[in-house]
Order: sequence, then structure tokens, then C-alpha cells
Amino acid sequence: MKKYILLLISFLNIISCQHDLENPNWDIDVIMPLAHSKMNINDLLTDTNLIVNEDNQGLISLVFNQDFIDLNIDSIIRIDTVADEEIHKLDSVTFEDITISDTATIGETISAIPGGPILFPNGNTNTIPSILGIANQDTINIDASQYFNTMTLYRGYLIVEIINNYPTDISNISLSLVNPSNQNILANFSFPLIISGESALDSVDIGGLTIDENIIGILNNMDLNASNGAVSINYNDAIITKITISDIGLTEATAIFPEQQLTENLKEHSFNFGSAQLQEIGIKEGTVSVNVLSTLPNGKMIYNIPSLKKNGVSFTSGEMIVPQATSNNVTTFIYNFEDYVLDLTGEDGRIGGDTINTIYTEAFTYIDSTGILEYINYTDSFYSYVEFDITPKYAKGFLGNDTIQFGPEEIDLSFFNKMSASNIDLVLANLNLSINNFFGADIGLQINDLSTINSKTGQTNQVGQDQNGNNIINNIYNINRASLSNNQLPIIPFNKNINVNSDELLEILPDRISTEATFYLNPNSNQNTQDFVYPEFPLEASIEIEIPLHFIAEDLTLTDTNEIKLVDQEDISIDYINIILNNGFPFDGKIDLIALDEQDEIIDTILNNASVISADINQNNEVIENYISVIKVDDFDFTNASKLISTCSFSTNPVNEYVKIYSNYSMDITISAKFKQKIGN
Amino acid sequence: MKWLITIILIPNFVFSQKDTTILLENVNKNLVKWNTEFNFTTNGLNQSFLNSFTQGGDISDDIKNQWLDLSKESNTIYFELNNSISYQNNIKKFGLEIADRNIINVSVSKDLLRLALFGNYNYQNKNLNISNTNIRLTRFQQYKFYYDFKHKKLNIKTGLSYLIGNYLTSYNIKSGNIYTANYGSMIDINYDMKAYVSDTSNINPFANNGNGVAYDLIINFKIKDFEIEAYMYDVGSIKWKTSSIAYSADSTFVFSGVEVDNILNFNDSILDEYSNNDIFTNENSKVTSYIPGQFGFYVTKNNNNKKISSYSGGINFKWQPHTSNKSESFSELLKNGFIESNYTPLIWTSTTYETKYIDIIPKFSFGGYSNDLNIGTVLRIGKKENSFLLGTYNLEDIINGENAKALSFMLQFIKQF
Repeated sequence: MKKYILLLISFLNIISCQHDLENPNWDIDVIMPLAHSKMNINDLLTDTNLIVNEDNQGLISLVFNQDFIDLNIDSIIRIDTVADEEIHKLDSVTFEDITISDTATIGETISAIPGGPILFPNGNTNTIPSILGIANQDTINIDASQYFNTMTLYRGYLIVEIINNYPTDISNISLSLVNPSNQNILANFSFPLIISGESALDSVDIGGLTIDENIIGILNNMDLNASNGAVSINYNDAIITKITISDIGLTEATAIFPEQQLTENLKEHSFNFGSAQLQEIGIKEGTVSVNVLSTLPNGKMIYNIPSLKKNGVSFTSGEMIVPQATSNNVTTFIYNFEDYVLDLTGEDGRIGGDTINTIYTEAFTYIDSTGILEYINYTDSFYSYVEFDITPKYAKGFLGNDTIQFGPEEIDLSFFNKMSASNIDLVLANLNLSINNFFGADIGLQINDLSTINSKTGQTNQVGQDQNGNNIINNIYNINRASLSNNQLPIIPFNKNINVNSDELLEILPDRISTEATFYLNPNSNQNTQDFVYPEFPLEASIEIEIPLHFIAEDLTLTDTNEIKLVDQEDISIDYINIILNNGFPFDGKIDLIALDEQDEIIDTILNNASVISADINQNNEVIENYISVIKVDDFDFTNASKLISTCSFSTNPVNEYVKIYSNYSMDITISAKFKQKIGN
Repeated sequence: MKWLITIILIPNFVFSQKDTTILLENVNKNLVKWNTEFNFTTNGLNQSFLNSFTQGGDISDDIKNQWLDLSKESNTIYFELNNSISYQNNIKKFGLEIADRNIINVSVSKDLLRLALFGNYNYQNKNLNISNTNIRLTRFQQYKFYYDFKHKKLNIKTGLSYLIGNYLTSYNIKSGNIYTANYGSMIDINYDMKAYVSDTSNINPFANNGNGVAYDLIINFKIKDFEIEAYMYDVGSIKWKTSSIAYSADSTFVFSGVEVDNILNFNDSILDEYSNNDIFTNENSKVTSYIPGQFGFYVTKNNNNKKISSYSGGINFKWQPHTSNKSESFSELLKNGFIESNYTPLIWTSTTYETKYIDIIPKFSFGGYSNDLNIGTVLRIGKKENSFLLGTYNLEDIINGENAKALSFMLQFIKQF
């Protein structure tokens, strides 16, 4: 057994120096399709604005639509203004009168006479004798503390009224009103005789005086005249003294002010809409901001716009409590006016009848009652203004006679951007200028310019005559007003079409359209028909170009640049690429392919004038059989290539005859690659 | 020959040889056998083909053309590496075997070989037939218990094996063709293909990714001087776990390149579009694969001649149905298993020539995976308790060197005590 083990060990020693298994490798030649595309006329013309139509025979027409005018006159009716700016100073304010009464009954007077109640009992009938000096230096306390603490007036009157309800006359009445704080006499009043049952009144200007809350009235003298015979003695009969401070103009005051209205401003406000005479604006969105600055400690404001209604209810701000200003910053109260309707005919029942462009507003300012002592002086003020920022939903009325200039403006026409040609001849091209008027007003349209421009070649062509033989340029086309459905949306627009054969406009392969137009709003002035405008529905004008693909093209060249990204594949080595074109178009073509690096420097010309043969055609120049062309691309350098410029130049076949492009024409393009792939390793 | 050397690096276990019958004289109570067996066989390709895959290096067009010249319309490549150890109790008449088995069974159409070696460029506007292509790679361990008993005049040996599947890859293209249009503008592939891969997340030489059983039945009897044996070895299957993946594709696939809107606006990212995801459907599934079973019989006549002790002759069949994730009837399996094994019936004859120290056992056969004439020889060194066997089934191919179509190697150590 030992010898077998030795033999095995020897065997293992021999093989232990052998290295691992290795993989073989070999190259295989592979040819396979990489990409395929079936391109019909839709794919060849990649303009997103392009519509491809076909008729019953399948003849392709290219339709290009471009909006070129979007006229809106919402700027005419936009309300963005400041209104009702007011300053209400306290010196212009007249405060409410203050009246204080004092009552002195005959009972009180009799009681003051020794034995008086015995001699003149209540309810008896007696003859009252004359008593001189029945009142002499009597003091009457007039308590005004419920109205003010102290009050300095630049204007005012102190009115004293004495009502004599005694059964006998009184005479030689002398009354002085004195400020208790400084014993200054505010006023002296003298009444010679006040007949029983009558009153006497006198007033004194107290402008410039300061009045305390507790005025002292001193009744210097009052004589009681003898009655005319026996009279009924009723102890409740009294002499009433009324002291009124009237026409109060404050310099300053410390007072518990009752709520009182300072100002009332009722007025109409007219908006400037130019020549438009509007009767109603529906508000799409917007705000009215009431801005108030008050130095009063207790200001309050109410702002109403009776002309502004929503669901039949007029707008009112409600009470706006205005905090006392500590700076010049106004306090703003903002109200959302979405879906309100603004009546622009002025105040209801206004004298002279309804008007236009006018609203009616009401503004009220107040000193609010706080129940506490407040100090105010004549420099205090109440400043307010109202800001309208309204985007209308619609406007009704007469829109005016504006002239609106549009342009000159150039519109990019991307349709031909990537094309050039030494000759292109279209059998027909229709240009239709379509105008949709959504305004409830007549429009006059004058086209000042409508021309095509090829900015590369410098060629321009201007539009010629319309379908009626009129020169389009400078002709004024009347575009009738739109109408509403039962005076509400939807709008039934008026459509106006202007047609012209535009083959010459397009044969220069334009990249721009130049336009200029003038619009005349209500060219026939006010037609006694209410105009309207809904900003969401402007006047729209678009150009529609329809090109039946029935043409001659010589060297119609499409140039395009595409980014490419090819990563080196270490195990794949591309020998060449086949471009297999299965051509179903009646075009001969030449193709150039140029590779660029990231700096747009040419790396390699991959294809130069590679031929694509036209499909076979019959005597009517219609394709009867596709033709397959194979373009072999070898010896190319895609290293660092980041872009590929492709230039495809086509000529119709036969070159001097018109050919038609049908919807079933297409070109199959397949790119295949022949490459070596290393297997293994 | 490095590949051959690498085999020896693998731990060796003895396994009994079925293609060749080597009669051992059981002289003791116990027998232990260590067996290493390697077999590479093709029906057309040669050893240089295998060397290329083991030695590495660049395969030139000349070599590829040589291989194509050698190849048949259907090319079988069979590779098997077995290492086993067994114990046999001659008194109790039972035995145990533990084996590690690696089997590659490939059948490739000539057109697929063309495609693999040269690519499709040279076959534009031609239809390449890839039908009846199958590739089966299986690695598993086999634990066998067998028992001998007599029934009347019959010696009967039965065996039951428990199989642990490590790894399976199986492709089967039942029918298919590939057409490449001129200029490579289109590739048209028609195929009906099924593929199965065992759990790819559990790859190690002894991973348990499936379990199975296999059966043996050997009946031996004598008629006069003739000893006749009919056998059935390793008829069984492995059921791989549900984590296995079953791919299937049955479609016509015409590829004209990735469809793009703008043909000039392409880049190599479009190559990402080449994804099998759209071609194959896959599902986790229980998969059943079959190990190569053997059926056959042979006749031996013992001879009293001191030099030539016996003559033998027989026929061997192999049975290995394709892997499947669907249940099939037993009759279908039985019928198809012989065809799908890529093995043609092997008719063989051998004799034993005895010398004082060495027995020489030559063998001639025809058929098998090579479907050709094979000359095999086994040398047995040692006569009694200890013997050492070294042999090949393909002596003629050792002589042919790199042109050999088959290469086999067998090494056994036997200890009786």
C-alpha cells in the first residue's frame, strides 16, 4: 500500500506547479440592426404647430396655425385707483350740545319763608304777595361731569333759559355762571321780567373760555311779584333753569365722549375709462382697501358703496374701529369684491337721471363711546382714502371709440427653419386670416403689414389681394360685434375670414411673419346697443396656412443637429455602419453627416454626398415601388463626438414636374452595425 | 493536459465503472474502493477543442474552421468527472458509496456552432438552424446503499441512492432558427426554448439546492458457462427547490433595431434596449432534472486459459430526459429519455488477459456519446488484497493526441481485508 501512496504523492507533486484554467477568446463578426425608424411626412416635418391633413386621395396637405393677434381691452376697464381721500379735523367738527337743567319748586321757596307752609299750604288758593329778593346770592350747582372733565372752546355759546312755572311773575333776575376752579365768571345773565307760564332765554359767546365740569350758577337776585288775586298754590310748580353749551368747537377737552358722528360724506365718484361710457362692471376678482389714519383715541368709520352689490345686497364695511395712530402708517381694511357687480349709473334716484362711469359712496366717521375719560384736542384728525383694485369679469356700456395699434411685430415661423432650397415651386398655398371677435362692439381692422421674411436670404414677400380682389394692406375690414346668449355667457363671436393664395409668400421658405395692424373700436360710434367686453374672451386673430404637397423642389435641404452619446465598448469594435434607406418618396437625395466635438469643432465628415435614390414612379409621378439604398459608413471617427449634423438634400423626381406627396409614402430607415466582438476573457 | 491534472486536485472518491465491467475476485470479507473517473467525449470535435477551453489563448479562424469541418450536424459534447469512495461487505452482502459527480451533457447544432464561432455576419440571408440544442450542467452528491441477495438462481443486487443537488443549468432549444437579412437590417429568431437555473444565491460546491433519489437493479445469472447480467444503474432524478428559476420563451422575434422617432438622434443607450426581459418569461419553480441512468446487459464466458481468463460482450444504453418543471408521464419519460440523453447505444466486447502481476483488460466498443469506435484498456496491478486499476475507454484517442475526439481516465484503489 505504501508504494501506492508514494506514487500518488509523487503524482501530486508533479501537478502542483500547474497554473489555473484559462479562458479562451475569439472574435466573432456580428451584424445587427441598431435602430429603425419609419418616417412618413409627419416625421420628416417635426414642427409641433404643423397639422398634416389628407384628402380623399391621400394627398397630404400641411396646415400651419399661428396665433398672431390677441387683442384685449381689459386695460380700458380696469379700475385701479384711489378715491374718497378725506381729512376730518376736529376743528371742523361741531360736537353735540350739552344741556344741564336745574329745577327750583315753589314748595322749596315757601319752605324757606318763615311760616310760609302755614300761610301758603300746598293745594290752597291764596294771594301771593310781592317778595323782593326772594333769591339773593343763591347758588345753583350745575353738574356737567357726566359730559366732560374740562373743556376749552374756541367756539361755543352758553345759553340760559329760565322757564317760569310759578303761579306768579318773577322779575329782576340776575344770574352769573362761574368756574369753580378759578372763580372766573363765564357769563352774566339778566332777565327783567318773566311772566308766569312763560320763559326767557339769553346766550353768551364763550369762545376761548375753559369750562369746568361743575359750573356754579349764582342767582344774584330774583323778585317774586304779587299774584293777580288768589292763585292755586301747587308746591310742584317750579322755575326751571336750562343751561346749554351749544355749537361746541373744541380746542381741547378731557371728557367721556358719547358716541357721536364726526363726519358724513355722501358723494358720487367717477372713474376715468377714457372714451368708454360704462354702466356696469362685473368683478372677477379684486379688493377695496379702506385706509384710515386717526389720532383720535376712539375713532370709528363706516364705508358704504350702495352701487356695489352682490346678490342684491349693497356693500358696507361695517364698523371699522380705528386704533389711535402712533405713526404715519394707515390702518387698512381690505374687502374682497369677487363676484360683486358695480353699478356705474350713479346714486339711485339721482337728480338728472342715470349717469355713466360713476359710483355712489357713503363715508361716516365717529368718535366711539368708550365710557372712559379721553383727551382730545383740535389738532386731532381722521384721514382716510379708498383704494380700488378690481379686475373686471365683464363690462357693459359703450366701450368707446379707441384706436388700438398692434405691432409691428415679427412672429417666428419654425416650419421652414431647417430647410433651404435652390428652387421650390408650390402649385397652391392657402393663407387664411381668421378673426374671431368676442367683443360686444364693432371692430374695424386695418392690416398695415402682413409679409413673410427669410432672414437667411433676406427675401421678403408681402401679402397681395384677398378673395374679393381687395388689396389686403390698408383695407379696413369691418368685424361685427359678438352677441351674448340671453345677455349672459356664452358669447357668440363674429368670425371674419380673409383668404389669399400665399404660394409666393411661402416659396421663399420664410422663418418670420411680419405683422402690423390697427384696430378701430366702434368705428360707427355708439349704436344704441349696449356694448360688452369679457376680458377672458378677447379678439383673436390667427393665420392658417394650408400647403397641399404638390410641388417641385430642387435641393430642398433639411439640416438638423442632434446630440449623440457613444461610450467606448472595449470588447466591441465597430467596423462599419450600414444606413439602409427603403425610400418610398419620389425624392432623390444627398446626405451629409458631420460629427462635432463638444466645442462644435468638426471631428469627422462621416458622409459626404451619399446618394438616396428616389422610389420608382409611374407616368403620373406616383410612387409604385420603394427603392432601397444602402449607405456604408466606415472609416469614421466617433471618438469624442458629441453632435451629429445631418444635411439631407432632396429633389423631386422628375425634377421639372410637380409631384404629389401621399399619406402612404414613407421611408424606412434602419441603421445596422457590423462589429467584432471578443468572446471570452 | 492541464485540465486532466486539475481533476486530480479534487478529492478523490471511488466509484464503480459501468461502461466497462471489471470483474473483481472478492477474496476477503470487506472491500474498500476509491475511484476517480474522467470522461470527455465528443462525436465530432476533438481534444484541441477542449484544450482551447482549458488552456485559454486566442482561437484563430483556422482553428474555428477546423472545428467546423470536424463537427456534425448535431454535436455532442459530454463531460463527466466522478470521484467516489465505497465500502462493500461481502459477508453481509451490502455496500455503501459516496460520490461527487459533475456532468456536462451538451448537444449543439452545427449552425449554432457556426454562430458561436463566427457570428452572424457570414450568414446574411441564410437561415441557421439551432433546433435540438441542449446544454445540461449538473453537479450533485450521491449517497448509495446497495444490497445483494439470491433468488433461486438469480443473483440480485439492488441499490437506492439519495441525491443532493448542488448546481443545475439547463438549456433546451427544442426548435429554433435564426435568420439575418442582408446588411443586417433585420434578425428573425424563432425558437422554443426552456432554461432552468438552480438557486443562484446559494452557490457552493456542496450547497443543497435540491434532493432526489436514484435506483439500481442488477440481475445476474448463469447459463452453462455463460454469466449473464442485466442492469439498471442510477435511474433517478433531482427535484430542485422552488428558488430555482425557470425561463421559457416560445416566440417569433423579429428585430429591426430599436424603434426611434428620429433616426439621427440615437446613442448607445439604445443598446440598453437589448434586454432579455421582453423575450423571456421567468418564474420561480420546482424543477426536475435527471441524472444519466444506464440500462444494458452483457454476457461473460469464463475461460480456463491461464492467460485469457474471460470474454465479455454487451450493450449499454443511457437514459437522461430533459430537465422540466412540468410533470410528464412515465411512458413519455421512458421513451424520450433515451433520445434526449444524446447517447447512442454502445456495443462493446472485452477480455481479460492475465500476467503474473498485471491484468490487462482491453475493450472495444462502438457508439456512446462519440458514436464511434472506442478502444479501451484497464490495467489492474495487484491480484489479492490490494489492487490498483488505471485505465481509459479511449486508448485510440491518446494516440491521436490533439485530434482525439474523446479522452477518458480511470483510477481505482482497492483494498480488501
